[in-house]
Amino acid sequence: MSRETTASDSTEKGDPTGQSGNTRRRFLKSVAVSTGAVSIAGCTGQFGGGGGAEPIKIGTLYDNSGPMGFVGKGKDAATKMWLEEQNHTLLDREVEWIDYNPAGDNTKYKNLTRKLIQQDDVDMIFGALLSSNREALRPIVDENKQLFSYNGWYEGGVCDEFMVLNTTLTSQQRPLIDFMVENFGSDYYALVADYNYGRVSNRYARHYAQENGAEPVGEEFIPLEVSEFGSTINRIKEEDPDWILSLLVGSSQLSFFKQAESAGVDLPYGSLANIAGTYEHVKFEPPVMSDTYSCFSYFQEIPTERNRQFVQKFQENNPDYTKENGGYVFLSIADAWNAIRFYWKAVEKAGTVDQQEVLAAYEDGLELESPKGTITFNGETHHATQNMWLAKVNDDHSITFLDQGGNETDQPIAENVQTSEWFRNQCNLVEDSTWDDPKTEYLTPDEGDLA
Amino acid sequence: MAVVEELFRFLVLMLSFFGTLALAGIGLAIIFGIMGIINFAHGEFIMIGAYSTSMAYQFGLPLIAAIGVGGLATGVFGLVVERLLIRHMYDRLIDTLVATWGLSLILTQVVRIQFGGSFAGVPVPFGTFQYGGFSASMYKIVLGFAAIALFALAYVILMYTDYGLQARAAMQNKDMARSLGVQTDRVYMLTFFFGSVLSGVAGGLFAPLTVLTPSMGSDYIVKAFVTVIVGGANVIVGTSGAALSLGFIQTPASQIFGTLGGRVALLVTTILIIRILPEGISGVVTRD
Amino acid sequence: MSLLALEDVNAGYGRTPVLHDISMDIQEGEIVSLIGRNGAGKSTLMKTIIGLLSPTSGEISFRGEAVTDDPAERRARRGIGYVPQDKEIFPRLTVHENLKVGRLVNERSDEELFEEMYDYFPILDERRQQRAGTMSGGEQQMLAIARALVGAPDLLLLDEPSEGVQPTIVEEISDAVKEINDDIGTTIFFVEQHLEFTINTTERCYVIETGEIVNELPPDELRDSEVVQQHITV
Repeated sequence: MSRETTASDSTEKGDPTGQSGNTRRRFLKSVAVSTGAVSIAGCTGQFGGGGGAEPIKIGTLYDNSGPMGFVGKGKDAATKMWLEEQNHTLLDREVEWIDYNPAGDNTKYKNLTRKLIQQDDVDMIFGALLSSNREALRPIVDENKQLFSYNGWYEGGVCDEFMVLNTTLTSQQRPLIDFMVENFGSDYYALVADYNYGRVSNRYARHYAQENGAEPVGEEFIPLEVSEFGSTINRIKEEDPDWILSLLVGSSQLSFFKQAESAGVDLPYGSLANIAGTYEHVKFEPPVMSDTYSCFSYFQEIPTERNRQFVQKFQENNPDYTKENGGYVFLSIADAWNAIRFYWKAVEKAGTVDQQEVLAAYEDGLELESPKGTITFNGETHHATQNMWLAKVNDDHSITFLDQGGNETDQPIAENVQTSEWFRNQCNLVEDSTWDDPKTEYLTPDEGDLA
Repeated sequence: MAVVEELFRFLVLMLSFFGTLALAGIGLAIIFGIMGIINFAHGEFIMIGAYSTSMAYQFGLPLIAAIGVGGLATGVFGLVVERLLIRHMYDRLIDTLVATWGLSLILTQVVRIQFGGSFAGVPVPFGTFQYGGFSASMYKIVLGFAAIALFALAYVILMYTDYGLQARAAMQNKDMARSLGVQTDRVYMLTFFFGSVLSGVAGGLFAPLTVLTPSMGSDYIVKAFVTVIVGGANVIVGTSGAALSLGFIQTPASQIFGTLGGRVALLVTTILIIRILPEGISGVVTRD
Repeated sequence: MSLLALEDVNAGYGRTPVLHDISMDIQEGEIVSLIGRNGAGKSTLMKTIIGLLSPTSGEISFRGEAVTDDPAERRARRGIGYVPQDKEIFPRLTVHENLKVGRLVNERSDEELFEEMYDYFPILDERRQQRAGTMSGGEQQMLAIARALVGAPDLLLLDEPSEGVQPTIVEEISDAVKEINDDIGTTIFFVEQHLEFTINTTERCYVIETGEIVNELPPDELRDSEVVQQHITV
């Protein structure tokens, strides 16, 4: 769930050298990995230390207070559940968890990142909720060559040697737009939260819509704090679209759904912001959110045995997230769960917590059975590849999963969805970046880049 | 037919803009106008009204009674704030500003810790108003009339009760009122209570239309300040006049240029009015 | 019996002392005045008596009870009425509302007194519903006096009642003051610069100079130009 982003300068494009150069670099990189590992082992004597060695230290930076506090608390709960399941042990070594609360404050994010790296000397950091949090601390991570997992769902674009990331929203859009155009028609009205996430996502949405021969009949950029939608509703009625694309986020903007309902707007919503992460179908009285179609990698309702067990156990450990208590096991919880499990896999594969070797294990590709289904880690982009589910909110606010034709299903609507093609063309961290000569960019497409 | 529809579209939208601005501003206007205190936690008072209305509604009360509970709960809360905090800072504008700003941060965070990121809402009552091809939320129309009723009530209280007379006297000349035996401390306490009740009722009225979150107040405080600044010193006529004229500008602007355009028009109008009429709408209606 | 007594009262604004060891005594039923130059401390003394200023030392007693620590509103309720120098009527209240403010805080006051005030000041009766701020200076002065009187005070404080008032009306006010004293028995204490008004109205006169009471005279002596030269004229 990413919000305002301070975009760093990202005009620099990929490595201009040709194929042979890339190969050479790749070779150099693997050499660097092994020599680096040896030298560290020599210095600290930790390498392959076995039982009785110093504990492995992981740090988390998830807000526990402030507007995003509920997200951070969920992520901490997922982290705690995993550590308890593993008995706080990895590679026969004790795992020490250092849990800080940056409280949504970017200055605290920076200071706590420094503290984790320089004082606590952690092996891995998980954290940051909003893109602005991540961009605040990223220079510190890069400067210190610290492995960092940013596992929020965001608009995409981070191409950074030291960051391992979750899926991006841009990858969700294609199945959703395809579905909405195919099932409801080509005229849509876009409601876009007026900040980075909304605008970038809308750019992708328009691109995918055009590929489908669809066109927005209206587009409105709405400031985050707006909660009065009378004129928007009037305009929607005048344009008479087939469906509405919702990129509305933040609590004020969610008032739109209540107001539209009572003003008699009866259109399907295709949403790239609601249900999975902010569970409006649980928060609101039915039928406010009915006929919303939301496409994400995770919903609490995913009908697999593995997910049912995960949800059950998580809710037993954390009763706040049950329906009776108005809670929901939301996307960010599953993301944090998978992020720490990816790290476990990488460390087990590397046989060490040496950061350079762990990253090499990540880049070599990882596969995980998870509540979301099978997900893999893409070494080139440092992003996860996962399945997308299309959830329909019914009149009673229950969820039904649909396939591309609009039929009920217990399968995802799209499998193995990667980052956008445009991004993959820009970002290859295996070939264009090394630990010692790292690429640390933030890439967003300009208007027209996508075509 | 189409003309009538267009007229309805305009009127309903304007009524809802007017209602929102007027309700957001009324409590702030009364406390500022009579006591000269700027309550920076005003938005949070609205939030408390919305939350307690929702609680009463979930408890099973009908909405109108729940809104009454919301107003009263906010009033009692206001009374506590006045006794513990505000009364030690009369005549110290900056101090109250900083103190109430701090209070707003505390309230937001306490509510967040206690109730989480969002709170059970109230469904929108009264269904849909339909005329030909035009339809709108009936509740938004009700909201506009509720604002008018609330201003009428505030007017009656200020003009025709002993409290109202003393409050107006204290507002015009505090020392003289005291010299005539008016217990200004008591008048101010009641005023803060009264303003808090109105903010709470406004919050209760907003509750069905919005999502209840600890930070919902920050949206309303902008509207409240714009309305009160444009309105000027005259609590009733100034504030309602401001809401009416701002709503009148915002309606066509947002109809033509969208929600963002409407907001830009609102703020530009505010700046222009302050430039042209430094005393706000009140400067036009009262000349003495 | 002594109605109001001040004993060694010192007072001022902030750290600037204005009044020095003021002692005075007003008997029930008297009309007493105080004269002095601009800046001698006349208004400051009035504010100290009504309670808008707290003395830094000394005692004030009213009807034998200490009121030094009472705020203005409590002194008003004990029976002290105050008409300040610039009238300070409530400009955006009507004449009638101004009187109501004066009346509703005193339980002893009744409807009759309210109508009596309109009898004393017929011009106010005509303008009941007019905004007080739109009236002339003299009318405002009458309103300010009437407003103080509807609270049925035992002691009425008048701060320069003739200031800013047309000469023809000055006499009217002087008559009204005496009439009030005669009819209702209200004790009156006023400060003035206007000699004619003081001579016509008062029975006893204090003289204040740079914050100190320097003399007490019968008003007739104010006709002596040497005395006037000494105490009033700049």
